[in-house]
Amino acid sequence: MDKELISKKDLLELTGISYGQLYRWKRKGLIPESWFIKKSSYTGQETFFPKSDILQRIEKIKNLKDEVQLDELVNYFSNIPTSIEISVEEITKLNIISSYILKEFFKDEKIKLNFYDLLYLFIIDRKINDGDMNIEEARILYDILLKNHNEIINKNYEIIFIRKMGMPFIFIISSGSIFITENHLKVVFRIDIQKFVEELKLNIKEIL
Amino acid sequence: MKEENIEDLRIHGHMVLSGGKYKTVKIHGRAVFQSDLISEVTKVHGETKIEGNIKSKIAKIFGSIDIKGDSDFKTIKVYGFCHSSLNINSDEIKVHGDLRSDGNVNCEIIDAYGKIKAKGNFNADKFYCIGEVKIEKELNADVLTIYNKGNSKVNLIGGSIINLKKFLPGGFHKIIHKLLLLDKWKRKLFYVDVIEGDEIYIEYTKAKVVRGKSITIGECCEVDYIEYYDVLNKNGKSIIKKELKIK
Repeated sequence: MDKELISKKDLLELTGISYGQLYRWKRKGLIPESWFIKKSSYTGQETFFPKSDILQRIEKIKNLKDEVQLDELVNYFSNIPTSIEISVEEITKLNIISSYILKEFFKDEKIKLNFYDLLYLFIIDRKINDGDMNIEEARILYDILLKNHNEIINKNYEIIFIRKMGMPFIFIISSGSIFITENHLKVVFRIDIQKFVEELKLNIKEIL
Repeated sequence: MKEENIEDLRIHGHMVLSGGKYKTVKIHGRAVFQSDLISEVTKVHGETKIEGNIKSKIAKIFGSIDIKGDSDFKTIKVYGFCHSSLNINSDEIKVHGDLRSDGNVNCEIIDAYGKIKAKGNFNADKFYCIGEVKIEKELNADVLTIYNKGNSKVNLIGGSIINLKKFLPGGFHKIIHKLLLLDKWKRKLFYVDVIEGDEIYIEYTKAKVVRGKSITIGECCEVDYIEYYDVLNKNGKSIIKKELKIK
């Protein structure tokens, strides 16, 4: 599926940012270089961006840049995990993951979780609360993520959750890949893990 | 924990080393490091080759250095020649000579008098150069000023304030320049495909596309297409094929 693109000119007009800001954010790594898609046009070289991704990102940067320094913002948008260790008890206090999910997965409140443990629970919590999967399916997803952890941390991956005649199927594929299924399958959700990394970092920015 | 005992390294003459971690490295002569070099301070008076990466807080090169890997500095001052086959990362770069990278260069400030060459992108908050600039990909800087002395060539320049000016020699050189009509016969132009910025001033520049908020085209420019938001000032001696005001 090709993503809808927006030209640089339209982007600047729509968001009200300047060339200087756009290049500064690119330089600082707030906007990934892969989003700058160069195409030739009648006016010479034109740059396009994946529309929904860039608009969401610019909105986030604009909202956050007053409270956080530009250099710190880079950490929120990078896929590099922050080295945190946080107990289940502390997570409950932060209110980023439902307490019943935490209790289902970790009986001991003193146990310490790292960034990725937290991330996987964060994804699962969101999908259970959206009504996309039940707790048993969540356990399967959690196990898959943990088992393939070393692979997942090095690249950008998406999770695809499919249901056929009530049976769940989970796929982890590299971001942006084309995925074709037979007609009877229902793709319940397709999520980009990187987006959850960003969202989680923003949710726990007080403790980072 | 036992404190690591890091020693200084001084080389007078010619030496081949395996690399290592040192406090201060001073080379008077010729040295070859066969793997990574990590140091607080690196001073090269002569010629040095590093087969791996270099990580040094302060590097001063009075001579030449050739790095096969990545280069990571806080400050690097080059009074001679510096070549890196991969990327150069430094907060501050000063050049009185020649700086070349086959990869990207990332810094906060660069102050250069000489030649800058990069096969990848060049990113800086402040870019100032008197000399020749050749960047095969993108030159991205917040404030950029180049006084062109050679035939500079950049694929894309993007930033906030962009000034591309012709270098004007002073004193004795100015008289020679005028007498020999060098300005007319040996005209140095800045070649760039795309320039995008908020405030742009260019002279003696040949560009395919210039896009910006406020654009001033000085003398002797050739621009295929200009797209501007607020102001466009043009010098009569310049050629502009097409222009468009964005409403």
